[in-house]
Amino acid sequence: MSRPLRLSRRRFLQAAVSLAGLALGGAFAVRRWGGALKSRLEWALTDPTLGDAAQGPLPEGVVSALVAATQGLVGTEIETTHYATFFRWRAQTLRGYRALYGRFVVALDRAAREAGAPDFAGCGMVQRRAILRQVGVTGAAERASRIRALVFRRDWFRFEKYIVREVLALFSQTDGWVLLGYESWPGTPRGLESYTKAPSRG
Amino acid sequence: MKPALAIVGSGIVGAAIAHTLSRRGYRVDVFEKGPEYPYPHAKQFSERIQFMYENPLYEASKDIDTVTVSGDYVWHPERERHLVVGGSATQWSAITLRMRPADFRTKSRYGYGEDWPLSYEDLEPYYCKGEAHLGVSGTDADNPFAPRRSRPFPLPPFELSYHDRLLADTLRPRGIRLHTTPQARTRIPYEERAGCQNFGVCKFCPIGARYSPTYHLLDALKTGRCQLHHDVSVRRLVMDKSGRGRALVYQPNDGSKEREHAADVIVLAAGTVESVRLLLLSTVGGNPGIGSAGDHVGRHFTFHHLWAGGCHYRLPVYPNRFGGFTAQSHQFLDHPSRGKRGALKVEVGSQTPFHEGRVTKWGSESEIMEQLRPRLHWRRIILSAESHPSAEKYVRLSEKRDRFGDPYAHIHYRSSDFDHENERFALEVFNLLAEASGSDERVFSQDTGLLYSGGHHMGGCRMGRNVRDSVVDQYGRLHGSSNVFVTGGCTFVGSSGAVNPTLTMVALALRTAEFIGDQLS
Repeated sequence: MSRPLRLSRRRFLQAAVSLAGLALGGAFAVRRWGGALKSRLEWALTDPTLGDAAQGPLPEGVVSALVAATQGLVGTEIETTHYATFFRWRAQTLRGYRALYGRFVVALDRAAREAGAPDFAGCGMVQRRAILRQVGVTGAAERASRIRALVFRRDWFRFEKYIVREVLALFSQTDGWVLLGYESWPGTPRGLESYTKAPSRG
Repeated sequence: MKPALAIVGSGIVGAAIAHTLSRRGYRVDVFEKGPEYPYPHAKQFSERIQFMYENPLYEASKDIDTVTVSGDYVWHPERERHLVVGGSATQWSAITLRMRPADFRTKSRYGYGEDWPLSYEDLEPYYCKGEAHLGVSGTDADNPFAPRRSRPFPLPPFELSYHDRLLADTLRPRGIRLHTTPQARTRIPYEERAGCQNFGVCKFCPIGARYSPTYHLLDALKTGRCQLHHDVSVRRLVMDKSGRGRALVYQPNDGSKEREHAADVIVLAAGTVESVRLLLLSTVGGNPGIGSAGDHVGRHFTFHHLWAGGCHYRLPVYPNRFGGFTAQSHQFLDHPSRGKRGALKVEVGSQTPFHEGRVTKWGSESEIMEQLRPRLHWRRIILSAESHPSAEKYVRLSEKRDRFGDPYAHIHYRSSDFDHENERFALEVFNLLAEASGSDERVFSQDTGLLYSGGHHMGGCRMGRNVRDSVVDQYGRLHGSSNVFVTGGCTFVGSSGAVNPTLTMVALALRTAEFIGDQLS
């Protein structure tokens, strides 16, 4: 039979103060560093590297699907040539992109077929946007689907970082300017006349 | 056989000297710490702007490109330069202004700083040569504050933008003048360079319209008398006991064996901080630090002090329709209270941060548009203040060492009372402009207390009359040495007033090159 634990009043107070101190310290540490730790952990889990697969030319079918995904992501009628050039250059020049683009298109086509379409490029704009939302790469993905993706489909985080984010950045530096009312975007030869006149589309 | 020169640094100053002297028949070896950097910069333009790719090949490794800092300067000075063939001016803004006559005489005119050992009149012919060398587009016709010139600008000016003109019209009745900006961009084709087509991302001009030193470096290489050694670090100068430079010691960055390169003339054109560092790393007669007999190497150092402000307007002002620089005001360079305060330059900028080819973490197209739309209503105003050296601004060797075991440079920088007075003046002028132009909201970076050098590092090897007051003479020749020259912004006596220093650096470099050529012949 175990003996009851006996503590003097002094020892009890000492233990209580120590416990309270630990609890306070712990709470402070969580408050102070918990956010950073959590985001560090999340970053480590959701920020996978691109991989080291070889560069190479991109099949035209993949380019078409990527351009269709771009239209779906941007959600408005845009000139797409510079996006196609962008995808081709990345696949041809930087390791990992060609394989990633291929896997992305396979995933999109699979989702399109599940939705009854022949492939992703063959879908209309509404359906493309729905598929992109469904697979959770549009940034509006819910927490639950992100956790599911974290466990089952880590590639989605690669798609988000190396495809979606880059497409949107390119949009912000090109078509975004035209939608704002500029005649064309920086990076195109705009001549030395138009900037001296009132914006024609403003 | 003609004498041989060794130039440390392939930037705008080194390239100008290499170009001038190789064409005069001298053998020139140029040593560059950074990697090759293709010209015209079409490849860099494509990579950065079209493909949003920052090529690591053009980034110097941190263990050869670090500057430690103390005091109240919070930025990284090594990021304010570019270690590549062609140097920092491969990516510069290309504003090319002349110092004003009074900037050479601040001590005798206003009672602060020191006077230069040469005058505006001495340098004026070389300003003309410098403008021709760089292909400067500009006019003084609309600028009543411009100093006298003996030759017109080589190229016509870039006009004010539509919205600049509206602003200028609003400000004129309130007594504030805006005018065009002289710049090393080709308004029309010039020499072998194409005319500007307004790509708008001038940092990576794909057609060479914005001047890049590589243009002249390649021309020098074509003579067959110039050789470029890139990816090598010059570690020290070898001097004989008389103080004459004998050779450079350099080492390839890949770590292969250290080598010695003999030369009849040695020119340091490695940028302000690195040139100071090399003088401090070298020895003469067993004593560390060359040119330091008067204890001036590394002292008399200063930055320009830049602040960016933003003015919001109810109607959109469409920034960035032109990539270069259009409106400025030089009205505050020689203002009535100069003396109590320094010179101040006003730039009405049109650049926005959305065009440099970096991937930003956007969430959606609508989020992008939501963030871009307000930018249409903001105008950026940059204020650049003169500063002058003080005991709390200097360059010395650092405690930390690079990959070869040599100490890095260390900058200590603390603003003086004069600088704080200039800050107040800058805010005053900014508020004046904002109110006069009808801005309904404004932000000023001074609110955060941060100053930025603009990459304008000056002094440290200042020129003067003798070893008691300076490091080099007015031609950049090291006091006590017949054949070692130090060139660039490090030889400035003050901060070039408040105007961008590069044209003055080039004018001085061309003058030094002419002097060296004449001496050798």
